[in-house]
Amino acid sequence: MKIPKHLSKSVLPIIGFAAIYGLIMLLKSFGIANNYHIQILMFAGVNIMMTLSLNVVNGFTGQFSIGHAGFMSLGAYGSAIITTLLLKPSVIPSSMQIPVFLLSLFIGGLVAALVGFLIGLPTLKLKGDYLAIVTLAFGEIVRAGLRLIEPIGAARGMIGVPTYANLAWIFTFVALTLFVVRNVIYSRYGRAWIAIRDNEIAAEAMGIDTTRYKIISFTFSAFIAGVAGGLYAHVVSFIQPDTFSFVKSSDLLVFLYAGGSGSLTGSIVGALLLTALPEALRFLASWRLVIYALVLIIVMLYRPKGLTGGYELPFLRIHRKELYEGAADPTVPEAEEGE
Amino acid sequence: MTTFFQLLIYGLQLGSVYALLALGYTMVYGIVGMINFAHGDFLMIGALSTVFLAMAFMSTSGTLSALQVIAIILIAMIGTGLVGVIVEAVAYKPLRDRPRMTALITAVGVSMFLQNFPRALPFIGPNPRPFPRLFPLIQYNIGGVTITSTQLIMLFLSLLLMFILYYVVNKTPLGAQMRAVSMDKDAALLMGININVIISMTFFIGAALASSSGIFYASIYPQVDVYMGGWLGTKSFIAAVLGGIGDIRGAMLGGFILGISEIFATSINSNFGYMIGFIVLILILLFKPAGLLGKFSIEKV
Amino acid sequence: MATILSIKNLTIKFGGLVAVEDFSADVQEGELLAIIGPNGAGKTTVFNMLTGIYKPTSGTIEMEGKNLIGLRPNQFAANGLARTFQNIRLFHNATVVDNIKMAYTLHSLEQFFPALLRTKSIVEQERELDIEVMRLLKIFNLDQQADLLSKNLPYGPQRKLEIVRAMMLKPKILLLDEPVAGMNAVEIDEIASLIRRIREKFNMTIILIEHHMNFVMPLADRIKVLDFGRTIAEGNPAEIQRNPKVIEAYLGGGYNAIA
Repeated sequence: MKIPKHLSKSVLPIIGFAAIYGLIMLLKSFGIANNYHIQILMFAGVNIMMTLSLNVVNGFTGQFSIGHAGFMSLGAYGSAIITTLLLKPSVIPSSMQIPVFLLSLFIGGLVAALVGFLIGLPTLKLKGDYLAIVTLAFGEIVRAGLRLIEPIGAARGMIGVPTYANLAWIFTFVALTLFVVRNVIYSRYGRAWIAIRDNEIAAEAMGIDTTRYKIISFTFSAFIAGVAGGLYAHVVSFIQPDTFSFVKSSDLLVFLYAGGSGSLTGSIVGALLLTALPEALRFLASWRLVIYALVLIIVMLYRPKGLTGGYELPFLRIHRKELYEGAADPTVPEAEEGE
Repeated sequence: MTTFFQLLIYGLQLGSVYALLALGYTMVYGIVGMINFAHGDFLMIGALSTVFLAMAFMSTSGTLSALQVIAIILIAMIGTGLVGVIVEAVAYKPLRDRPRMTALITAVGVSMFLQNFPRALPFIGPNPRPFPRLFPLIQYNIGGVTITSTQLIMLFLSLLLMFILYYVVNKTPLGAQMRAVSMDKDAALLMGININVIISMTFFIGAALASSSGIFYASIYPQVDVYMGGWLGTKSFIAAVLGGIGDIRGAMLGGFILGISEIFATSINSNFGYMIGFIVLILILLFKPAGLLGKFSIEKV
Repeated sequence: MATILSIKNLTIKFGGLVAVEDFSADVQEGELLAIIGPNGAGKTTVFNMLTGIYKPTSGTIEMEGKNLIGLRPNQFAANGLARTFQNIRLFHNATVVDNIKMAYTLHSLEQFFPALLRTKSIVEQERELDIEVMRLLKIFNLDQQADLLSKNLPYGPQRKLEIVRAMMLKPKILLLDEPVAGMNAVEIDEIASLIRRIREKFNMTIILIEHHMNFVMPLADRIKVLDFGRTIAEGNPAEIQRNPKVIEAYLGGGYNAIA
């Protein structure tokens, strides 16, 4: 049976993802992969989502957001409040745990998106470096604010977040994020974003309401970051405001640009590799971060466009040819007669 | 009322630290258009090398003479300045024509390196060290307000450095060349200015000033560790933006505004003190989007 | 002929400098109005005011009774004013097709959530857009380069692409800022034919800034001459060529060389 090409873009990758997951589970059952490795993978998955989120704003829309950890923390706390303080495991039937978990992630994303929207409105009019500094300030203000709120543990943090997230969930959400981000890039929204990035003045002149699309980009990105934050909270079980500082934001920037901004594959590669690398270098003890820093500098000097250099895995790009498959008239428009 | 003046003294003290650090940030930004996230670490290098220099000098006599203190400060500043030149030559120069984000990420890597390399060295390590007393500590009491000789000397030296910098940039041929490069690199090149030398000089001066700021900071809070530069660097970046990034007077103004408001805010509540910098920044940007003294560059349509 | 754009006394000052003073025009439907003048005369500044990039200090711009002043550039475009730029402003990292598609954003009916899921409706809309863009490219002979990155096109086709992209907006008035700058005689002829075709096929109203006189004179119905921000002459090509003030502005007086 021949699978139509545009479905093969969705079905085959899902099978691929499932296969990779299955492989990891297999390795675990053989004792080759242990819980430590699984946890690294889960962190990597969360980081992939965060990097994709940053890619939407920085990579595709060309804006300069450097405080994205703030959205992650809003999502983490937002979802943790639902599962740990309100709908605790002790008060809900165990059959409701998964729905509550998913609900909490959605709410975490929503909180982050709402804040993103409110911040975006006044600030997206700022240019370049000024936008950067405001996003940085935003990230830190959120952190400082969270440190003050007693019911969620203030600076000490929140403990006891139920560990609802497992590798399967992370895989699912990463796949889902890749799916929706890819789709939106190859739609009028993605094109508007790229136009804004490439030449904002021309974009305005060609009828694109740049402020509106920047806000959409920012809000969408914040939502993804919020969900990623929620997943993170349910992996580590203990969250505190200081985890989501500028250090985290700059880690995300590194994943994005070292992997390749404007490329979805780059976000996967950057986040995966650079999450795994510090762990792999643990044997170097105090020299670990020195080597990591040198690797980073060397990558940027020799692959300034990032490790993937703009390359996109086949299932992450959509060529306009594919629009014509499965259509009533599957011929790509040829040269017309006369004119 | 005396509290007000007392806090003001502390604010000026902290402000001068931020101002000296912000100057380096703003100069580099003005000349190469780059935000050097590793700038704060020059502060740390200055403070840390002072610790070791003082140890070396004191090993013979046990105390430090005024001449030795001046020598230590100068050696630390020059040494850090050279580190700045090397960093620029190795990590930033190759990326000059690349998109800005690339250099930024490299700066993150440089910062990580500058912090963790000394940390990995056995004789430095991650633990904080006490900072030596460089300046005589005599307390003066004026109308209920305590002011120390350390503070006076620090303020004097900081203002002196700022004055020297301002003079160099605005009244000397070197300064004219620096300003030319910051306005139009290509035109400066065509006018026969050696851009590489100017850029190296800028990094030298910026790093040297950062190290002096580190020495002064450590004189106030005498604990030094390899990570002390990161957060201070971020705050001085905010000071530079608030004053108008790329403008030297803006950096000085921003530094003092940040230092003074931080001291006053901390006296009310420590969390407030932590946040005040950002709040002041956002307030200023709302009314003056380019910072207090900043100007947007016009894009030709 | 009807007036479709009414420009009255546009003046703009930058600080103490008056860049454009009292520019007025009643643009007739279907006409080709050329604005010429020495460099720095304020021609592009007029365009920037007519497309919302600058806000005039005084004066009005009215289209079909609606005052456009104070609107943002994208709203000017929505009202039917499309332009090209003196320095090419293509979306350089996008393909030729995508550049055109980006100009369709304004009219597109794709919604955000369906786009996230890439529903059948979205795919259909994308397909129809692609077909229409290819049709447009075919008319202007750029269809063979459809999938090239716009930055990889040679200079002439890049300028042509900018014009085609502006056409995608289905504008009422097309503003072309030095469309043949830096071109050789063959390329200039091509663009001249292109402009004629656009006028014939779409009855397009065009406002044109250019320096190449042998390009402007045969094409223009009306010409306005600017010097130091002021309109020093107005008329049809024949009148302008004979106008002593115009000759003086370009050549400093004493020559009658424009022929």
